Amino acid sequence: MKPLSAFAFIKGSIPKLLPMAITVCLAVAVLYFMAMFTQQINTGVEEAGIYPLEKMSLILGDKSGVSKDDINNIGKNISNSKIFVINPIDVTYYNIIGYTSAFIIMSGQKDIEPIMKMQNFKLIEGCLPQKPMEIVLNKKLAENYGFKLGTVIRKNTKGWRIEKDLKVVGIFEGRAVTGMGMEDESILKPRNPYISLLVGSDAGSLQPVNKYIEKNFSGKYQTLTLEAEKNTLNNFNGPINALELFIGLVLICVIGVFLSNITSIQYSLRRKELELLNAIGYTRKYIVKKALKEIAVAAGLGYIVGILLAVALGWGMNICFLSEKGMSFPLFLGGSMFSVLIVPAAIILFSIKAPLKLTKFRDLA
Amino acid sequence: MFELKNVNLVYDLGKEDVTYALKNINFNCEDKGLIGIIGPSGSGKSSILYVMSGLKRPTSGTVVYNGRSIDKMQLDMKAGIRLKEFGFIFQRGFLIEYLSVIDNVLVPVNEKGIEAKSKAAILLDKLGILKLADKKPYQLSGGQRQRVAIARALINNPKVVFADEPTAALDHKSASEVMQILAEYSQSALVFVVTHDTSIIGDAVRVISIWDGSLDLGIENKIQNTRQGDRK
Repeated sequence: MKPLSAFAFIKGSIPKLLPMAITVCLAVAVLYFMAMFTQQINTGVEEAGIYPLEKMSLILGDKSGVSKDDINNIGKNISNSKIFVINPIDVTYYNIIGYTSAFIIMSGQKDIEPIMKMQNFKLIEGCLPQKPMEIVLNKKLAENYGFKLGTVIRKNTKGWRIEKDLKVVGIFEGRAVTGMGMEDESILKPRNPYISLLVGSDAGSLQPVNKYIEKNFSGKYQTLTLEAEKNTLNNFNGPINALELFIGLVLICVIGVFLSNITSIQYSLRRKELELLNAIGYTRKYIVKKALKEIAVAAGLGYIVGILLAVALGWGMNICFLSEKGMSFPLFLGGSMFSVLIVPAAIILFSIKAPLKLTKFRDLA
Repeated sequence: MFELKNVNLVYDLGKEDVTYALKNINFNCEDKGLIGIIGPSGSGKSSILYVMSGLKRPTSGTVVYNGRSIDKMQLDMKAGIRLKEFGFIFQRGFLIEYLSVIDNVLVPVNEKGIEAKSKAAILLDKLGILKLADKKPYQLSGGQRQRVAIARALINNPKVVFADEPTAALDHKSASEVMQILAEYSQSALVFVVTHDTSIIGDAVRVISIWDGSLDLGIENKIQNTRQGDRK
């Protein structure tokens, strides 16, 4: 049965369902933005904790309780370009996005020459960093990006995730594709001061290093493995995800009840229309189906606009605030887009009772 | 065509004071002609229409339409009969405000082809409102709205038209015009007109009077006698 010309029912009634569409839109926008925010936190935590360990294998400090003899032993017994002897309290990392294994390691130590020597890096141009935010770069890395002595790598340089401008003062040769620099102590982000040894990646070439450290030092010093770091991350993510889920559920219930009432009022205003259709011979099933269709269209429109709104907000924040801090909201999260569909679904479920109730004929006087 | 046997419609059933909207109604009627149903407000006039058209189920008794008991039919079957064989005109027209006049007329039509649109246009022309076909209901006067409602009721060539106070909101001239259209249609179909204004049902072949939910045969006979006297 098609009593009304195509979509006339929907066309005419969408303005009446505008409050519903707007509420769905706002709920979806809030939830999707929360998802982007959480994802950004997860990424940030991962970059700070997991990523350095995966790429560098070992960081240990001469100020962190590891004896000089042990440091020398490590230096003698393992030969790997990605071993750094730095106090982990005093380092920060700047990622070079898209360039595998490439970090700029910034140390608070004023003299980074011993570290360079330990890595067997050979300075071929310029000098070692003397002031904060000066760096020496690996030759390959410098060539790859076209950086020369005196180049200032700005925080908005494409592919770099840094917070302050870095000045290239030297070029070195060595196996590791990376760079080193001296950090302004005021912006150092200290890691756990009790960690003496950080045992990193399980990647094939680094396994001997890890095994050596674990075998010889794990009983003697506190160590942090990649696995332990991942556990820390999971422990951190758990409450965040639970909080997000809790807020999401509360939001859905509150909005659901709110919308259910709005829909009841909207359909009450159209009671005569629904009863008329019922009176002239359209079944309740048919009318409810029509109503369901228009609720679904309103909820669907709200969903799409809500996602677009959240993406626009995220994009705006990326451009205006986050990119200069080396961060960005991930804008397109397929899984979250799918999860947020729960909002229009719940709304349809909450809202359908009104037309169901109102299609029962009473009195068209 | 219609036969009502001991029909009762009771509200507040189960409560201490029950209200009879219809009490022991018995009558039958043929398949064409205009039948007036009169009575004061709250007497049960509209309830008779609702019960006959299957919109309300009688508390007891039977409503037989063309040999079939309407009150025992499935809801879908009743809806099908209402859509195809019955036409409804309500007191204030009850048009769908966001549809144009012609779309309102086409609401009860299954197929929306050119044929249906032509038929709707002919009906609107006959009712003198073709030029309003593309207007929205809120742009029409009370009389024009009621004509649209009549066109909607007649679009499927119903065998029975139920008109509930069709002239209540109209001036005298518009009321006469509406009744003239219904009287004309009653030449080939059965038309029930519920009203409390006896002056508009001069063309009725029969007048049923209701008082407190029961048929008032005294008034009905009196009206019939008066009419027969007028005809002589």
